[in-house]
Amino acid sequence: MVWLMLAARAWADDTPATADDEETTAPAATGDDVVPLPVAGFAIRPVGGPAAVTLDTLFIVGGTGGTQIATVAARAPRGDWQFGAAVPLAAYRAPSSHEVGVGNLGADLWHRGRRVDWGLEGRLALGAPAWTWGYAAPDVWPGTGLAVAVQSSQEAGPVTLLGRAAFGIYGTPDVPPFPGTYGRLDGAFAVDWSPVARAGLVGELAWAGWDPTPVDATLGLRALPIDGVQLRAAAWMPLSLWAGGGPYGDVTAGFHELGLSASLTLGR
Amino acid sequence: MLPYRMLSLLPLLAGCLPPPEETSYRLPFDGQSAIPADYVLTVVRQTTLPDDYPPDTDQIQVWDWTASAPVAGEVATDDQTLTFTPDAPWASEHDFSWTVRPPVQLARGPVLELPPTVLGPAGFSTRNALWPVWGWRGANAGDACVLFSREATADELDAVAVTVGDATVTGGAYAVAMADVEHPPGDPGLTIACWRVPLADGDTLTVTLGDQSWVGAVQTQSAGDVLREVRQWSG
Repeated sequence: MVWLMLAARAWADDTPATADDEETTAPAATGDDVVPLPVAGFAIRPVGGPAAVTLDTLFIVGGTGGTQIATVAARAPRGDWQFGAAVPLAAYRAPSSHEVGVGNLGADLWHRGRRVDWGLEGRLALGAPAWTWGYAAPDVWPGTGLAVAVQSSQEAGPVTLLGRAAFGIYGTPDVPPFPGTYGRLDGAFAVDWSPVARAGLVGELAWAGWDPTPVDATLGLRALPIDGVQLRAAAWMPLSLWAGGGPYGDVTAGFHELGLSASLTLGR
Repeated sequence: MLPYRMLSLLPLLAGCLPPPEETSYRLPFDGQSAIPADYVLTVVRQTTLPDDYPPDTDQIQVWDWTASAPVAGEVATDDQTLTFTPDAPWASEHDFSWTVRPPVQLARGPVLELPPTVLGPAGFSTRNALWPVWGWRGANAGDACVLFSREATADELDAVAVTVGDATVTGGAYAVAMADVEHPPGDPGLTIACWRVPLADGDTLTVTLGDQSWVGAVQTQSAGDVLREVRQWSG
């Protein structure tokens, strides 16, 4: 991870800072001079801020759970642009065993604007696939595709409003419940509230179709214990599954599973 | 002839057609004998499962009735077959049953499906014994037809006595050519023999071989239908 962060930092350092950079990489509403890691949701990606590396873990617990996903991600700014890469590793249940596989390589390119950021989000299936899924359909289940995304944030005192919309096309092996080649339209809205300087509450509501869990909500905490370090913890709630909609058709409505997420971001 | 402009609609129409039927069956068939010591139990089915997806190791369970013990082995799968290979060669002169369980669907994984027809128990034997597995009224002039558990010699068929009502016929059987029925590769062998005796639907047919007899009511069927039945065929 240190190597990743140094590489991202070195890449970012190649471009001298400009007045425009300073304007577009404004710090989050932390209230003092802590490292300005950007405010983000969960479907809504972090765009802006310094080069950073994130280790994210997701445990899906409950009767229909049993999937754990660890993702290593790095991002680096260069002028108005930001390049990011991520690799998820997943442990999951098979009928008679527990398996481990590699999710899809994520490669994102974002352009930072004054009001709206737009990006390209690529996914590339690697070897040793993981036949399961987590937050979003394109991340783990083997598939390759590209999406165009727009995001925006609006800061009002201690509250930051964030939004996202994206559309992508993905190709997967023809293995149900994934529909082979599919288009995916997704949108999310999040509110970040920072009542104190180094901590905040984040709530997000996201919708996506096609996705095995089309509607979900996330509620999380974030903290900046020291400069350049951000901790996040969240509960991911697949609302559509709870309401009785599953990828195999309707299921009994109920509290089937819950995602518990924790992440560590190091930025400088 | 379709107007030229309608040709562009053909792909759309094709999308509305039902998918081609998929064929599923089990080998050996229920009641088959003289199974070779290295025979691999096979469920043939089409699936969308990826080749690298780990199998359900409990999906095929085998019981040795002669030894009254389960048989250890390896369950493997690919996109066409689900197989069971015993850890040691099948014990000779033993009777076995094998049960195919329905798949356990995981909440966050590929859809696991097996046609219902291939599920459940079936029996086979490594004994070289010959016995009738199925009797029916053949479509050809109402002959009495019998499926035997392995390939039978002409001498063995000559020793079979077929009884309908008060009439008993011995010898004179003719074998149904396997070319006339669907015969999948990997079948260890069988015989279908028919006797020219007047037989009506619902009649009781008695087949006597040595000092053993098998009795059952018969219906009109084709050899192909009978083989599909014992192989738990669908599609």
